[in-house]
Amino acid sequence: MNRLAEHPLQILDAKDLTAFMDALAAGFDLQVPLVAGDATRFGPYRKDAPCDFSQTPPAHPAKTLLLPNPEVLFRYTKDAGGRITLSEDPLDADLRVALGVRACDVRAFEALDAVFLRRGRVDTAYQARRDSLCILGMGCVAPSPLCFCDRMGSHPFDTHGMDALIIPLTGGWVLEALTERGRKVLETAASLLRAASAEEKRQVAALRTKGRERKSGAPVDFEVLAGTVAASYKDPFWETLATRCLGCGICTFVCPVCSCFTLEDTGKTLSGGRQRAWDSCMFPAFTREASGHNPREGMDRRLKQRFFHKFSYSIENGEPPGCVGCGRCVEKCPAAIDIREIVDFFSAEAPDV
Amino acid sequence: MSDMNPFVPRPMEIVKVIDEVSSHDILSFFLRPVEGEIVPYLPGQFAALSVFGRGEAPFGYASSPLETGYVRFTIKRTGSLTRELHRLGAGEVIGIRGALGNAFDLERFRGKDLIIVGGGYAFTTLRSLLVYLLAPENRAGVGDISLFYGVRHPGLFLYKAALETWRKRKDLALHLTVDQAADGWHGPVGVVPELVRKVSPSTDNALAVICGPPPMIRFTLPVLETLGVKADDIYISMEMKMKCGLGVCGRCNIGTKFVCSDGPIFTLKTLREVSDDF
Amino acid sequence: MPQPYNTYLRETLQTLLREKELERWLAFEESSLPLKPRPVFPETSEACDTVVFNGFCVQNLATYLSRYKGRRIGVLVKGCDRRAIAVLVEEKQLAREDLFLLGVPCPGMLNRTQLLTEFPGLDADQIAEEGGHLSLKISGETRTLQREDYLLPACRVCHHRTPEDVDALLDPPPLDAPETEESFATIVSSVGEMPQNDRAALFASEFSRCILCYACRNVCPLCYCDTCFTDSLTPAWMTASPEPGNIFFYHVNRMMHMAGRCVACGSCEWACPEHIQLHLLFGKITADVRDLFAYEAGIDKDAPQPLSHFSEDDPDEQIG
Repeated sequence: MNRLAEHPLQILDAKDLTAFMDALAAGFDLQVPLVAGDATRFGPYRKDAPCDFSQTPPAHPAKTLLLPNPEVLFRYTKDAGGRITLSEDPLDADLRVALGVRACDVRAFEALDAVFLRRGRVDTAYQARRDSLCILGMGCVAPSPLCFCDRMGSHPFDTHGMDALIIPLTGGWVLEALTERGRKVLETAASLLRAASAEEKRQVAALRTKGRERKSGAPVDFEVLAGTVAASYKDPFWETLATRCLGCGICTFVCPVCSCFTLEDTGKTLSGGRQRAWDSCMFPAFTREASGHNPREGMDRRLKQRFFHKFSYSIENGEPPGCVGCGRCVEKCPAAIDIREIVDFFSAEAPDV
Repeated sequence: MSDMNPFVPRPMEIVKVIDEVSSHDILSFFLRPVEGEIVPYLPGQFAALSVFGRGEAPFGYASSPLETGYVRFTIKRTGSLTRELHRLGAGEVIGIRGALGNAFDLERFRGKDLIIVGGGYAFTTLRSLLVYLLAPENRAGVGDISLFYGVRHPGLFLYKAALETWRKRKDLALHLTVDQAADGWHGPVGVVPELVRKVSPSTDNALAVICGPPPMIRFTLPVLETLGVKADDIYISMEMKMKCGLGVCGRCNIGTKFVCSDGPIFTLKTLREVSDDF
Repeated sequence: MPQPYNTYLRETLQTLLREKELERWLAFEESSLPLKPRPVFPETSEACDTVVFNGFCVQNLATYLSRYKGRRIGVLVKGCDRRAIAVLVEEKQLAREDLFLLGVPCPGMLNRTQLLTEFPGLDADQIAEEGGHLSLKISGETRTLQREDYLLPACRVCHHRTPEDVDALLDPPPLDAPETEESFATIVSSVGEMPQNDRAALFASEFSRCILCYACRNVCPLCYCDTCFTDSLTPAWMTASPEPGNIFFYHVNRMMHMAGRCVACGSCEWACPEHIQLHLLFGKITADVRDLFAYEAGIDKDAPQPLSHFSEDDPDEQIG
């Protein structure tokens, strides 16, 4: 990505927000956090669909932008002579603009890249979506009390991987182009933007400092964590956790990093398609074989799989950690399983601390 | 069609189907590409077979790459996909993705005695290996071969004609066993690990290969180790539910490895390093 | 809940653990999240020291009992936990004599989401439950709310708060909170009187948020099948993707399976990460079973479950 050497701050007044989104949507496939119930999730901008940029972070992770659920991988038709014809939908190669993605979700994209772009073979559909995604990220002025990105190597105003950063102020948004692509996208709405005043620059600097200094807990040493987790296979900690876990898929579905999937055929003998749908390592059926045998039959085994994958296997394989500290699973788990408690337990130097 | 999308299968025509066992629930399918050549493969690898509209599942190659003109898969009816497959006959078209996964480390097999242990339906992968090793151009490459193969009852042996041929060979020690005594069966009765223990093949210069149901593997490993085979010299073909075959979908994760892309063949040493279950 | 009550509760659990020779209790303790106590399974007297009970102990503890089959377990039961256990015993999933049931007269559970939406950042020590009202201390000021206005939908219409047929009942009750005048008929009529198109739109909108995480199924004390129809491979009734067809199929089938069995504990709606109004579905099913068969699951213990019982005298010609 072409990072710009200088990023001047521009201001979008609050009254112009709709016009700004209209301008972007006229040129690009604009994705915004849409309101659904009391949650927000990314979806295509529509004038009549309410969006909300205040939920920090949006209740549903931005991985939906890269891994739609479901996603058609190919289609097939069978003619009267039994001949099979396969076809693929065109790749999403046109520039898409995602507005309001938080730093945690952008960090998570890198963990997804490690799965879909490096290991094994490159996933062409994922790559097309990833390459064509312009990220107009948003700094977190009011992080949720459950957020802990600062412990996971990031912070609320982390611009890593973003094309531009938005910082909401009371009167509007501060926009900072970070890459050439981000600059070009913002340029399409140039008439709505003005240069930031000295006072606005001061406010931004103050917010950034405050964000950088956020300390929700001790920073996590992933090498240490990977080691203690790897050594914990027989630790009764997991069984205790498993007594409470209900084995639902909430944590994996709201996790911006979790990307396990299944393949399923839709349609009938003569025509249909194969699609990828999100799956969860917390479901017993995930690994149950047709014979009935299941190597991860017990809840403790499934829990261990999830957390060993996040904190041990990924680190050992030289991939980004499987948690970015977004706090979504903490908020949503009905059994109040708190990933921060797991991180703390295994980050403690002595096992009895 | 792009050649890039790793999820798109190639159409294969079913050339022939044969019934392998007395319970009629294991069939061999002989396939050839509707267009183009057979994708190269080696013993131990697998492919994902598709019945369009029903789904996809992984199966080890039963044929050896030295058999030309077709690839062979031996498939047991266990779920809805295999039931659908079993309904298909010659002339019908299915899909294939592969070859997937790693193969037996044939370079390391060179000059070694081999103790090959198979159980039940999983023997299909070992057929590929044995046909490959027993071919005239390859047989001299390895030393003595001891083959142990057990099934529940005599009707369930796969590849009976091949077993008959192998029984007559001087350069292969064939040890078959069945779990339950049966009329007409004059061989040993008992489980595979017991037979290995009784026969106690020489392990001085030996590598072992195991392919079978998880309990058979679990009970055979200590027998082999007691006989003196080192963990680094025991190759296990792992079975785990797979979907993508590319190390991506997450199902077949064992520690830092994925059975479908890093395996399915692992040494016991590797499995012990990555998993606490061995 | 006032702290003395928790002390009384803990002491009761500790005494009974010893006297009744229980392997462990199923109860609640505070979690790292405000207003979200979590299940706890203390095996020792010491471990009972974290136990609490308050208006946020929503989750139906009977769900966990399948993990302790055949063992001597004590359970702190609200009315709905007790009803779920009654159904499980009737369906031969549990043996009543294995369990020691300590009843707690339930004051009706509170809607955490509603409170946190209205009072962001509200913490457990800022809220006092006092009889029929709640006292909130927010920035030095005290706000008084009517408890009734903050009850969960299932608890608004519950008239079986105090568990029956228990081995011991906590006395005095934690709170003296009056029940509402509402009933399942209130729920049913609110939806039933809608024009059909509006009703269809309501459910389409609710279900459009479903992510098929199955928290509603897994938290349900009566969804105990080893293999749910959702996971059946042969035949595969549905697929994994959260498409409208799969979502409707799942919820409607689960609803059918719950007819005559649902004890209206509201755990499913409480666990739903999307707060889908499942009480609209299950309220209807519960009301229908009561109207058609004069039966309430887990209450009418001597009557057979209407939908799993065959009678030659059945007035419906379609039966048999």
